[in-house]
Parts: sequence; structure tokens; C-alpha cells
Amino acid sequence: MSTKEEEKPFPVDIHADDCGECRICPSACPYEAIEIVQTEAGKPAAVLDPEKCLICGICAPACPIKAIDIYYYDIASLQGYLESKMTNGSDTLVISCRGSTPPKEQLAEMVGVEDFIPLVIPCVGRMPLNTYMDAVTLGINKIYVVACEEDYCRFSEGAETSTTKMSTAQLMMEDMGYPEDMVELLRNSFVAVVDRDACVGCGNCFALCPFDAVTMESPGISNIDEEKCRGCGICVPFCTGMAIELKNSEYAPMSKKIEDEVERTEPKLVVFGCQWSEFRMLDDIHEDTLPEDLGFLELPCSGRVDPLHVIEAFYKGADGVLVLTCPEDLCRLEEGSKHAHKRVESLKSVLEEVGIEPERLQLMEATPKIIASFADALDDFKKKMSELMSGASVQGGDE
Amino acid sequence: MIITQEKPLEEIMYYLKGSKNVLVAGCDGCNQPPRGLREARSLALLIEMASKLEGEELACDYVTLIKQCDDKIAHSTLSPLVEKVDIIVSLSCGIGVQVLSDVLEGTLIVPAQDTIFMGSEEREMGTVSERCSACGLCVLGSTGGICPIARCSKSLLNGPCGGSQEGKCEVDEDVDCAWQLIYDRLKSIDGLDIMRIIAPPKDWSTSTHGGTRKIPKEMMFMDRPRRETE
Repeated sequence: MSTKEEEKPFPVDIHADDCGECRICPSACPYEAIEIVQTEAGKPAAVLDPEKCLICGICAPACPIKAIDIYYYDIASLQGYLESKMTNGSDTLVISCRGSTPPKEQLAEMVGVEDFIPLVIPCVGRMPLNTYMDAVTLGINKIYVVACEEDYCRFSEGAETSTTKMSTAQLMMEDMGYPEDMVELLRNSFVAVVDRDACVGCGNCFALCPFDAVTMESPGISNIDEEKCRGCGICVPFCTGMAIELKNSEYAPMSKKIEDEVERTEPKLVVFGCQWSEFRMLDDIHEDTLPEDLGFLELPCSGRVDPLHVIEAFYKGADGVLVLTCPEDLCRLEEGSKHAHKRVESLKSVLEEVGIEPERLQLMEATPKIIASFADALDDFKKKMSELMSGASVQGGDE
Repeated sequence: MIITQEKPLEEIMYYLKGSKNVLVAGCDGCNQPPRGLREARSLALLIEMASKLEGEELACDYVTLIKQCDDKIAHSTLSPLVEKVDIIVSLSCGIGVQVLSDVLEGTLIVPAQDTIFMGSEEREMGTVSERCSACGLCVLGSTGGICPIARCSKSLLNGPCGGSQEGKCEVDEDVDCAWQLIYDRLKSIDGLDIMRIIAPPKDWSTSTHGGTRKIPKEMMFMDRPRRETE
């Protein structure tokens, strides 16, 4: 992985020559990844530490002289996206964070508008003010911002930043004569919920929650504190009574989707992917921007990977399953990646018992820190599976 | 709680040869390791997959019980389902398997678990450990709350023996010497005097030496102290 990192440019690039040393970006960065240092050219400038950077993208729009380039969701592509969508006839824009975006119908219900232009980005805190202005210039009459609760933010301060940014945008628009409720902020976080009737009081969620969100009370009932839950979903596959559901990643709809995807694809490949391990250029919930030739199930964290779902995929006839996770040290939700690694390992021996080669279940790591690591992982997976399947068919022919 | 361990699927499949309709019954009673609804569903899928592999056609349903060690609960949950079922795979401990066999005449019940001991769960360590042997005469009051019957390799009542080395048992260097633990514990609570009292030979008649132990349930609470077994 480290060699790949050297080959490809880092997705965030600060142009030291242009830096005006205003010190906004170091103070905006939630990870203290930017410092003003003396450069070789002899002048102080902002310098990024790629080790610490998590590509939240908050710094890029914060730079007043646009000296920071970002690979994903840059200002130009956001503008291009808006322009392309304006032809749809809708004048409502819904900007939402990946971590808090429900399915299309629910989102429509939340904002109370059926026809809207969705703009899903990894963190609403990174949305440039320019984009708000661009939207208004293009004829948008209402902007909804759907952000996570502040404590829930995967990028530490993104939700908080979005609040400030949104108010600024609103004030600027009011100055220009637009109505006071031009921009509206809605909060949404997908937390785990316990069905207390189904809880058998095993205490697994209580013992495993990395955020101390669970308390147990006699007679053996689990309580999950919505304020503390960060929605990693680690608890869900450990819940023996199947009493815990993670909002937006519920068990049954995912089972259905697995079935549909196994039906649809050929070869039958299913990917369970952490939504923070890959950034696409732009997410569009109206159009599938994912590769067509495999079934992709987006998870809020690889900690939500459910061994039962993996078994179901093979049961339904999947040829291969990939669990796509962030490297452990980059897990946005503490221990999700760690649990995903463990689960895949123990699942392999289970699958072997029912005649499925352990290689058919793969775990790969990807991170937005390495451009194309997502695409590379998918290619690698497809290649491995096709090798495996051609081998398998040869064996089958011999029999 | 009663600790069990999953059997290899191959062993379970051996019992299912020729069966057409199988029911996996989970148990929510002692739930560590978990063997409830989720595990029942998972095992049901795996059993179907394994039977396909053997070229057999088998339908496997699943259900979970509040606890399999209660004959009334077991009967009321399973008797409506059992008619369509050739064989029940129980995820419970050995007790549940027997209760199901008692209450479901004419249906074979097979265990999906090996019952290994009564133990505790250490979450930090990610382990479960044996803590009680059900000897029927609890001595924890004089041993600092650490059981020498379950935790000393020789079940000594007056320890430690000469095989205690640096706090470990000579049987296995990974096994703590229970009597070292008892000594440390008593010392920490200023109770070493207790260790000077020589424990008399234990009455093992309360343990597994007189056939099946059985007592009327009301006697467990309402007529103590009482030690005669019937």
C-alpha cells in the first residue's frame, strides 16, 4: 500500500507558492494536519501532513485564495454537477452528508419536497460557500442541508463547520435580498435502536460498544443512548436476539438487496463496502454511480458487516463476496475495521465447512487517501474471482 | 452460565443424513456464547448449504426458545412445530437437548453444541473460564470467593500443593494456581487467618456420585437448610 501511496499524488494538495499564510486552513483542519512552516523557497507557507490528513475536505473551501486543490468534490465539479441537474426543472437543492442521507423517498419526506436535486457529499462541512452561491445564481430557490448531529460527525468537526457555513450562506443571501429561510438545516444521524421485546440481555452490545453508548438494566435489557451512539453497527451482528437495528442499514432490506444483486449480476459478486473507504467523484442517489457489474452494498462502517448477510449471499448463489474496509488505523468509527477483519477470518472457516473455498470471501482495504484504491480493489477482486472461477470450472470438467 | 462450543458442521450433518425437514432450535437462556435467533438462522442456512453439497435435499427452518431447560416452555414452543419436522438440532447445552427429548416424543433431538463447563465471561480478555463444578456444597465463604473445586487441578480443600510454582499450576503453566489466587485474595482483604483452619474432608455425596440429583423446587428456597437428596 505504501508503494501505491508514493506512485499516486495525494488527493489534497496545498500550493505553497500561492499560500498567503493567512492561517485559516490550520485552524479549520480537525486533525491538525496542516502547519505553517518555513518552506524551501524561504517563505512560510501551509504544509499538509498526509499521515494525519483524512480527506474531510474542510480546508479546501476555507482557503480564501484557492491555493488548496482537492481531488474529490472540488468546486468546479460541484458547479458542473449543479448545472447539469438544473435542467430537471426542480428548484430545491438538498445537500446532505453521506453519513446522514436516507434513501431517496425518506429524504423527500424529510424535506417535504418530492422533486429535488440531491447533492450527497462525504461531509457537509466541506461544502464551499461558492456552491451555495452558484446554486442561487443557477435558479435554486430553496436549499436544505442535511447534516449529522455534531457528536456523530465522522470527520470530527464537519457537522459543526456546516452549521457555521450554512448561517454564513444564509446571511449573505439575505444581504442579496433573498428570503430568510432560503437555507434550512436538518439534522439526521443513523443510530442503533434496540427492540426491547426482542432483547435477551446477553450484554454483547454493552461489552463491545466503543462509544459507551449502551447500558444494561435488569431484567437484562439493553438501552442504547442515541446521543452517544455513533452508528458503527458493531453491535448488530453480535446481537443474538436480532434485536438491534442500525437505522438505514436494517437487516431485512439488506437481505433483499443481496438477493436482488445476486440475481442481477453475472458473475455473481457482492461487495459490502464501508462508505468511508471510498469517495466517488460525486454521489448521486438518483443515479447509480457505482460499477454495474457487481452488487455494491454501502455500509456506514465495515463494523456493520453481518456474517449472516455474507452467509446469505453465498446461500443465494454468490460467486464471491468482498468486504471493503478502511485500514484499521483509519477507521472513522474506532473499531469497525478491526471487527470486520476478525469476522472475515472466522467466516472463512465456516464457509469451508459448506464447500465454499475461503478465497471466495475476500477482505480488501481502500481509503480515499489513495486515489483509485477503491477502483483498484474492485478490479483486484474481480480478477481474483474470475481466476478462481475458471479454476473451479476446470475442476468441475474433470469430474 | 453454561458454556458451550459449536460442534463441527460435519458432525451435525452426520445425524441429519436422510432427513428432509430439520428444525434448528436456538436458546436464549444462558446467552454466552450466543446461541439464539441469529445463530439459529445462520446454522439453518449452513445446514441447507451443506446438504446440497452432499447432493441431498433438505429444508431447514429455525426458531428460538426463551430457554430450553424448562420443559413447559420447550413443550409449548416446539410441540406445534414438531409435526412437520424429522429432527431437531438444538443449539442449547446438554440440558436443553435432554429436556427437548423428554417433551417431544418420537422426535430425535441432536446437539449442535458441546457443553463444556459452567463459567464466567471475561470481556476484556475475550475469554470464558470455568468457575463452578456444582459440587453441591459451596466453600467460597472460606476461600476468598475463589473456588478450589473448580479451579484447582486437584480440587484440594487445603492448598496449595507442592506443584504451585510462581503462581502457576504444575499441570499447565497457563493455569493459575487456585490456591495462590486464594492466598492473594485473602491477604488483600486481611483474611489470611481463614487459611490456617484445616478444612475437613469434603462430603462428596452432594456431588455427582449418587446418580441424578433431583430436589423438589420449593425446597430450594423455602425449607433451608436442607441437604438430603432424594
